[in-house]
Amino acid sequence: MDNRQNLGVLRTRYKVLLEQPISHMDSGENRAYKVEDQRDSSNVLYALVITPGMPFRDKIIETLTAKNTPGMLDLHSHGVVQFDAIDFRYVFVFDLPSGGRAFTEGAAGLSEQVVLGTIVPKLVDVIIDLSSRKITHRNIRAENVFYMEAGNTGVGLGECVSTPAGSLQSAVYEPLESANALADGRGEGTVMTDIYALGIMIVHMLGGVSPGEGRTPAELYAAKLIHGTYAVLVPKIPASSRVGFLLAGLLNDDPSRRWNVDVLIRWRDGVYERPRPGFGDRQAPGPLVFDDNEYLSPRLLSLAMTRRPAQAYTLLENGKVESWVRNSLNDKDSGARLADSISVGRSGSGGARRRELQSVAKACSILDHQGALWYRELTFSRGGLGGMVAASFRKDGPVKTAIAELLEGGILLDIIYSDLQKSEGGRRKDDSWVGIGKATDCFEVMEKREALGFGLERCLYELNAGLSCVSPVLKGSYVRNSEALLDLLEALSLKENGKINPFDRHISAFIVARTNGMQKHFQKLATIPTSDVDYTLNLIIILGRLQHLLSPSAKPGLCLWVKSVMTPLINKIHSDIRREFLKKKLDKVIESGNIDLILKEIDLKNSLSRDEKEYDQAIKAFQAITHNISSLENGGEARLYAARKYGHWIASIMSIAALLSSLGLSYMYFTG
Amino acid sequence: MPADAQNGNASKGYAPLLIFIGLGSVFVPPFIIILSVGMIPSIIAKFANPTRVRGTIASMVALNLAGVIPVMGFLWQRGASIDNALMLLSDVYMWLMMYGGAGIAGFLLWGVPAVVQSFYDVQARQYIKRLEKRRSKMIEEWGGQIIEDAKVQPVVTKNKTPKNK
Repeated sequence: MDNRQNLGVLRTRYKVLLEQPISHMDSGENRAYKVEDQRDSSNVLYALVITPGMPFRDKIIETLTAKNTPGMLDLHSHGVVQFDAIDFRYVFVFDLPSGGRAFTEGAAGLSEQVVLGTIVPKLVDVIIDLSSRKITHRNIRAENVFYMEAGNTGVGLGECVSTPAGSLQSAVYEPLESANALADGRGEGTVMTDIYALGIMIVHMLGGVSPGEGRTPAELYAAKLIHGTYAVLVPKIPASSRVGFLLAGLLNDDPSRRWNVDVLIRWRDGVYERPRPGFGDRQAPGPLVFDDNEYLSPRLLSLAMTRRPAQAYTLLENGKVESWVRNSLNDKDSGARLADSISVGRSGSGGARRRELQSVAKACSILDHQGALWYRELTFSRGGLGGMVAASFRKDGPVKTAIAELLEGGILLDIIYSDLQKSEGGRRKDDSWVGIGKATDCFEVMEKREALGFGLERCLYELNAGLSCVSPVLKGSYVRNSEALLDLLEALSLKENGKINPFDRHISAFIVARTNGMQKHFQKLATIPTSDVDYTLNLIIILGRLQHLLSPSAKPGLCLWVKSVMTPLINKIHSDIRREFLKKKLDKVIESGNIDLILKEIDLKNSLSRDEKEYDQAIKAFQAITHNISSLENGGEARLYAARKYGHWIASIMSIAALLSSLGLSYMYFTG
Repeated sequence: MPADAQNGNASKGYAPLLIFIGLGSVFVPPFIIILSVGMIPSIIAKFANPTRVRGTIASMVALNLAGVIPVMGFLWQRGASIDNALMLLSDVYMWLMMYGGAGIAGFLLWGVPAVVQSFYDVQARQYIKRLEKRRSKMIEEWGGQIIEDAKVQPVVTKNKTPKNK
């Protein structure tokens, strides 16, 4: 891919022209650009370049591209495109609809003939097709329908893969299951979600204005719960009885009563049914008073409780909600689980306020078990947590804190267990807002949230299997797996002369989540203080292990980083000789580009411990030398005393020798 | 009591000398005269020993005696009479011989310690030089930090400087 000719080209065919943006085809935060098909210049295409940190719907891509879907913009290709040495982006290439949008907001509504005669049948075909492949579109809305050719011919539904499911939809397009969730947390939904969106789209196109315009999402949600979607939205548009029947079937708030694919097929074939419109949430015979309002619907009550959690906790503590659910709603199972939610408030983790919030969150999840899960500023539908975590990292804010609290406190696990205990239609449920396995993993990694490779960053990558690493070190470049990450880090490090941090929280979490067998290394790292030499050495060991396992080619750039972190450690060596020797050796061995070899050759831990021992001995020797010099310099008196003593001894020996000589000589002289 | 005991020991130490002098005065008075006069420097040194260092008196007595013995040899040769003894004492060379020995002793007791001290000083200076050289080498090898660290760490007192590592 380093070939300059292939820069900006997807699969050697589709050249993405970044200098020619097509802003009207932007998809949320993803930007659209013109594409040149290098093999077939007659193709009119555009590319969506995925913004960093955007969890696109990788699970449905293969299914979607396996077979062409008539009535949808054709997804020609997708993959990673290299724009320069360190700039990699994920790109989707679609047909560019030259006829423009079928509906423009603010203009007059479309005629019933166009909507029901041209647009809806095509979209029904798309829904049926996708449903047969067990995937959902989740992007059916008036602004996402195009004419493929000029002259308002060839209807095509826009793309649905570049953003989290349903995240670009207006809240009104979402059924009750996800209407209350934040945009990025709406989840994959089911075919019934697409069918509901189709109904709203019809209302939107016929009415000419966004349905429910002027109301906040929460007001719309409440109104749908009280009156039902049909009653809230349909009377405001000019609709024939044919449209009325269609919408009554599509907009039923109860997914089990909403028209399904079979009914849609019959409708498409001209067999019209007369469904009864829905009337909102189930109603209890007797009301429950909360915050001076009377509530008959448990989901409405749940919504109200999320707005005033402190009062809601008092209500829960009084046992009024429990008895209302048991007696008025005649739901003993939910009543028992509600009683259990109070115990969360009494014995849960965190402070009193936090325990109250946890208790209310659990109670709301029981009262509105089909809707979005609420916790503080966070609301997400089933399967929507991954998208929410990703969004919280793109836009820092209170949602991120709420997610962290939800995951670390164990309340999510508690809610999921409670939800899974509930039986529906005589059998136990097997899914919840988050898979039990994923929730358990997240709870475990949040226990060591301060350590590298753990915490919310790890949850981000565990919950979004296809998400690129969003570390700021990568400067927005796309990497799908650890191998690509390693190669990109190598290029970055080479460019920055080793002055990068290849182990920030995101990169570490990404590595653990995407590489088998790395968990134990990071667990070990978590036990070592960051100031310890072993900590840095373990980071280098991990990098060496990754190189060995994933990308064994020479990594001179990463070796420069190794040098930059090893040099301060080598500088800790007291011996100048050993230090200079190791530095020279390091300079030589990094040329190999092999991190394992560097570790082996330098053997820093051993060198440091040997140096430490020898330095201790050297200090003792130095102290002894200093002491001896001082003693000798101040030892004049002692030497004088010793000299006198020794001198007198010598003198006495000489004297005695002289005496003996005198005796001998005198004897010889006077007797001889 | 210890003072009395010391006095007792001293008197015991002098007893043979006094007995020797007493017997000598009775049987060989000329020799005792020569000895008494010739050994005056030792007697003075005994009582005026400024340093009280052991061996100084022995040196003085030995060399003083080495000078007196030839004089007593002359007395024995000329006949052991008091006249001869007095005649010998009137000879300045005899005095020179007896007191010269004591003088030499005094010179030795002053000079030898001075020489030894000079030798010790030279030896100490050389040893300091060697130690400073080694200290410089250690600073060169371990860096200036070792000076600070050596001050901070508790000192292990050893009389001997450790050998090279």
